[in-house]
Amino acid sequence: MKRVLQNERGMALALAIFALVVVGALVAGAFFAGTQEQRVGENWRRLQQSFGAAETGLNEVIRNWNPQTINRIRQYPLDSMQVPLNPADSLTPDHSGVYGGYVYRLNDEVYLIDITARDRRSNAGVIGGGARQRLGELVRIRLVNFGIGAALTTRGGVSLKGNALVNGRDTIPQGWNTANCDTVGDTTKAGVRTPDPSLVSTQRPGQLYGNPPVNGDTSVHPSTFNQFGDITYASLAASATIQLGGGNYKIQPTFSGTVCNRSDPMNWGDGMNPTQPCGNYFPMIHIAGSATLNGDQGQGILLVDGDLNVQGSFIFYGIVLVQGSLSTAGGGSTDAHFYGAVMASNVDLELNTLAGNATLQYSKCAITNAMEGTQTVSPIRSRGWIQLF
Amino acid sequence: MSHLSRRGFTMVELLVSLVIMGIVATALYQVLVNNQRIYQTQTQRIDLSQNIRAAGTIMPGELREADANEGDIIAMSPTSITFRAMRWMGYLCNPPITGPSPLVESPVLITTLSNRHQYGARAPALNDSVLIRYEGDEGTRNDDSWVQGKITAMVAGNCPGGALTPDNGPGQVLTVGAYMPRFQTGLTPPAPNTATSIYSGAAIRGFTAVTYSLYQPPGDTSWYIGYQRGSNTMQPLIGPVLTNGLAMVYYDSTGTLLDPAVAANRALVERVDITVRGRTAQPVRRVSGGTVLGPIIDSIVVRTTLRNNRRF
Repeated sequence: MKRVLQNERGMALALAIFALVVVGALVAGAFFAGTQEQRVGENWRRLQQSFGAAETGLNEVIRNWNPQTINRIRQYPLDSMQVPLNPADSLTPDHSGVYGGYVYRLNDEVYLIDITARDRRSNAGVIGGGARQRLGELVRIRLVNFGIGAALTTRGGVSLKGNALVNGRDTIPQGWNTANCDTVGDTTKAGVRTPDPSLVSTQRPGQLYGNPPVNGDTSVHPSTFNQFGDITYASLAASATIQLGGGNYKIQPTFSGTVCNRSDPMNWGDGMNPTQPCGNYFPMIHIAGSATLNGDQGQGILLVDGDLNVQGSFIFYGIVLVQGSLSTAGGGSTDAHFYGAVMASNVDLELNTLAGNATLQYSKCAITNAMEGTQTVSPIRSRGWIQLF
Repeated sequence: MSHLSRRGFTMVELLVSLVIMGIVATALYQVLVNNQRIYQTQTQRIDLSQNIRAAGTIMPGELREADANEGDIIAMSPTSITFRAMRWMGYLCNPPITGPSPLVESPVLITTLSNRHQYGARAPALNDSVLIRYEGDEGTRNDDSWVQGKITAMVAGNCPGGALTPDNGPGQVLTVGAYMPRFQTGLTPPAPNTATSIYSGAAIRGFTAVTYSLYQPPGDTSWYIGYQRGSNTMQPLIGPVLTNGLAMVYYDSTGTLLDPAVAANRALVERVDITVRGRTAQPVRRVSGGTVLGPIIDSIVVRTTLRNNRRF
């Protein structure tokens, strides 16, 4: 009988299998290394995209800074604000990534924006977690140093007639949330601050209050009204959110449904009803000429290139800066009422005539709210950009 | 069938089988060697890619945070740069008492660093060099600056809390030997030692001077991108690279090329173009089946803009 098995000796099969295993291992090794390299490269690209998205996020937060909300948050750790306010806006404008984070207020002027971003594919979920980048920016409110030292600051004379009143004692406007009011320090200012006190006249006693009622301050000069620290009147006017020509205006809050209509140039906020939709709207208004206001109300910062004439009832909360002169008139139950501070450069050195039921009432709360409500931010002067890791 | 009657292999059969086995073995060897070379080449190429990619990430990442206008670039050349690299950032929950006399330009400041929101590559440490944000007059940005200093003592302590400094959590009480010049000194902007010029919430940044340079370690024939922290010894960080493996070109804010040999140009740097030319550590056959051995060379160019230069 033929024994077949005895004739099947040799090592060709074993050698072939060994060779195949070795070759397979090498190929698998090279393939693995190649795949790893491809993954590293891909992650590096995602990292760069995430970095770009984080930087975009920082810039978007600054660009979309909403003074009415962000400027009101309390100092960290009492408050912080998540950004973007609307999660649907977290996609970068070029759609390359998604960002989000927080804004922390470090002190009165400086905020820290803390942004974490991911490229879109990483955000959608990839094996290994993908990439993310976290960046920060220190930004500063561009607070304007108006140098307010009185309820009314002027270079010219002031004539108080009728029931007109100028009061330098600090007052919180009726209905305003005191939590938003800084009542520390300088609670009483002068009534009128002018280089020549002899030009201030009253018709009867009790029309001027303050500490002192009239402050003869020879340091008041033209630049007091057009140079505020490193900011000029012209640059301030250029940055105003509402630009109007000279004319007669009736100002009142308007709504689009239940939302404050901020696109209406005749809507200057609702200081009389601070809890209403326009209650936290503080625009900066620039009138390129002389204006007459006849009702109803407004708030924020009002810049007038010419004269400001207030007829009858009008209430303004904040800072009024007039390059010309200020005059008020009205009677009966109507009222012209300024909460905050008024500065009238009075370029022609005309008389500021306050008649009727006009009241200029110093209010630190109205001033700070107007300033915080109108001021946007920009990165601090140097070293504000931070890799937060 | 007895064992004696079995037929053996003839010489011809043996020779034929040996020849066939030789051919097969040679072919197999060739395949193995080729695979080995491909594997080695791939590995070397991958190492090279990762090397230059690392160079393109690490150096720009550090340079971005520099402020050349205020003296962060200490030295620069086409193949080397020494600058202040930011290491951590936090904020002061209890500001130091400054002033009243601006004449005292080297005050010792006692302040508290909040433990909340400390960021960076590492935690603050004793002897760290720091920059503390100087506000000066709140009404203007023109005097905003940074106070240079060194942490000479650091102990645990709580933030005070209160109306102006609401943070009452744990922190570190720092003693900082500061420099508050009344006037610009070199590239250091003035930060006069006046009362209440550093506010609660002021940012504080820790930094260390680092050098990145084209570097050949003693006794080594290869060149590397070297990294040196402070006065420590330089160490190879990335490489090997070519003898011209690191080239840096400096530009100002208008895109004008700056001569790195001119000291005044250090304050003008706005952009740095970094070119890294790497090579494989081992010579490899650059063409499949080729016989010439040599390194594979690859390069990367990264343009980095300094983010923290003074803005106005």
